[in-house]
Amino acid sequence: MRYIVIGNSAAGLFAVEEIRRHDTQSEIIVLTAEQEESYSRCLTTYFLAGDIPVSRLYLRNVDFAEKLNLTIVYGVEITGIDPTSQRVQSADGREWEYSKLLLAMGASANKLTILGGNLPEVFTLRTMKDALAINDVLERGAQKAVIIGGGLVSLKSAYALKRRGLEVTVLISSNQILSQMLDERAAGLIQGHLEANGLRFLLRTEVEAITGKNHVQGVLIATKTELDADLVLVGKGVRPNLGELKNVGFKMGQGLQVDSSLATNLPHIYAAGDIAETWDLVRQKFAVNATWPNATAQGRIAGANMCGGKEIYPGSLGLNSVDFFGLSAMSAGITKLPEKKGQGDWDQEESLKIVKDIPIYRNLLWQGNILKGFVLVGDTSQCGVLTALVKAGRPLTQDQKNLTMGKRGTLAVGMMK
Amino acid sequence: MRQILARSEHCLGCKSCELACAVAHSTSKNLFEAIQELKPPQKRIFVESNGELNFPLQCRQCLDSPCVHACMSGAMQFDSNTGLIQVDEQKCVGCMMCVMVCPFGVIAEISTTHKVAKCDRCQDLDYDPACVAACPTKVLEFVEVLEFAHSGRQTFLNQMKGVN
Repeated sequence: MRYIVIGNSAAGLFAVEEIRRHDTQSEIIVLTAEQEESYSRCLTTYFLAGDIPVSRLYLRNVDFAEKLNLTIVYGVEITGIDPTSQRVQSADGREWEYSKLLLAMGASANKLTILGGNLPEVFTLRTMKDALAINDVLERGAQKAVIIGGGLVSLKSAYALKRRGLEVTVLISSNQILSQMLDERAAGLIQGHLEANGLRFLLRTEVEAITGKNHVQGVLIATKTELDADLVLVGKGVRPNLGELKNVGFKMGQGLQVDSSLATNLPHIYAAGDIAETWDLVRQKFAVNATWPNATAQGRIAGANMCGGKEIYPGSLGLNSVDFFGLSAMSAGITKLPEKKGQGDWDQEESLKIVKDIPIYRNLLWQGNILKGFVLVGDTSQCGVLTALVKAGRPLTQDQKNLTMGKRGTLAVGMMK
Repeated sequence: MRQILARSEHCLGCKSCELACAVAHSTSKNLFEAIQELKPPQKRIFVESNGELNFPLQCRQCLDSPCVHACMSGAMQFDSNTGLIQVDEQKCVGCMMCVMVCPFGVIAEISTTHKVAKCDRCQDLDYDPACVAACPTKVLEFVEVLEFAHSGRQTFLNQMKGVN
C-alpha cells in the first residue's frame, strides 16, 4: 500500500495524521508545491500585524515527519495524473505510483489583470512567501497601502497593515464589506468600527490601473482620482488549483466534486480542502466552502476512508470569524434572505443593542422552523451552539426558537429536554 | 477514562463550581488573592438555567473534536499523554474559530489576554477537578461513565423499593 497526498496544508496535514492512525506500516508520501513544512495560511495576517513571529506559523514540531514516518517532497508541481496506471507526474519529469491518492492542493489567489498589476509592490496574500515579501516592503518603510477587495483576506490584511502603522485605504466594488460573510447591517457595524480606528473605505469603487514605472506610486480609480500608494494588496478571492486536472476525467464544477466519502468519481482518488466541491448543508447544492475547519474535517475523513474506513462527511458549511480592534463577528450558513420572493417560507429575526459602546447584533435566518444561518456581531459566545443547530437542520418548536435569542447556554440546556 | 458528569436534578444553580473553577485557574489558587489578581482568572464551567432546569456545563472532550479541526494555529490539540483536548496558550492567537464551532458553547474568551480557555480537567491540580470538589449537592462527579450509569440504576432501584 502506498498513500500519496498532494498538498501539506490543512486538508493534507489532517489526512496524513489520520492515515497514520489507521495504518502504521504503509508508505505515505506527501508532495507539495511549496518549500515549507505545514504552516497555517490563516495566520499570515497575524504575522503581518506583528502579533506573532513567522516561526509561529508552523503547525507541527520539527520532528513531525519523522515521528509519523512520512516522506515529504517539497517543490513538486504536479502536471499529470493517470488514473489507469495509478501514477502522478511532476513538471520536472518525476513519477510516483499510488494505491490511494488524495488531492489537497488547495486554491490560489486571483490576480488582477490591469495596467500596473505586475509592479513589484503589488501582492496577493495566500502563502508564507507572499507574507514575507509584503513584510520586506513594510520593513523598507512603506507608508501608504491600498487594498483592493473587501473580503476576509483583504480586511484582515488591511487591519494588519494599519496595526503596523500604515495609512490604509480599502477599495470595494460592491456596496458593502465582507459581502460573502455578513449581511448589510453587520457589515456597516464592522465598517464603522474599522473607520473609527483609522481605516478608510471607498465603496462602489472600481480600480482602473496601478500607476508607477518601476515601483508602485498610486492607484487610479474610476472617478479619475489617483490614490498614493507604496503597497497594493489584491484580495479578489481564490480559485481551486484545477489547472492540470481538467483533462483527467474528473467530475468538476468550481472544484473537484466529491461524494459523502470524499472520493472523486475516479477510483482510488479522493479530494479535500479548498480544491474540493462538497455538498453544502444549507444551500443544498455542491459548493466550494474554502475555510480552515471545512478543510481539516474533510482531510481527516478522506484519510480515514482511504484506509478502508466508512466515514460519512455530512457536508460543508460556510462559516467565518473575524475580530478587528476588539469587535468580533461570526457568521454561518445563509446570511442574507433570498432576493426572489416566494422561495419558501423565509424569515429573519434581527436584534441590535449597544452595551458599553459595543454593538451587539444578531440576525438569525429561518426557513420555516429550521435555522439556516446567522450573523453575530459583538457577542459571539453563543455561536457554536447556533452553528450546531444549522448543521443539524432540525426543526425547532416555538419555545426552542425563543431560546436561540437567549444568553449563553440556555439553548443547550433547552435542547436537552 | 473518568469524566466529569452531572446529576442535573440536584443542581441548585449556586455556581460554587464556577467560583472554584476560576480560583483553580488563578495564579494564587486562593479566592481572596484571586479576586485581586491583575488578570482575573477565567471560569471554564457554566451553570446554565432555563428557569426550571439547572445544568453545569463544561468541555465534553468530544471525540469528533470540532474545536481541534477549527483551530488554525495548532493551539487546540489532543494531548497524547492524557487523551484530553487542551489549549496551548502560547500558540493561541485568539481567532475564536473554536468558539465558533463548539456545539456546547463552553469555550470562553479570556478578555484580558484575548485568548481562549476551556476545561482542562484541572491540569494544575493534578487532574483533580475543583468544580467536583466544590459542589455542595454532589451534582458533579468525576467517575467512569459505567460507574455513573450503575449508580443511577442503583438509585432508581432504591426508590422502587417502597413502591412494591
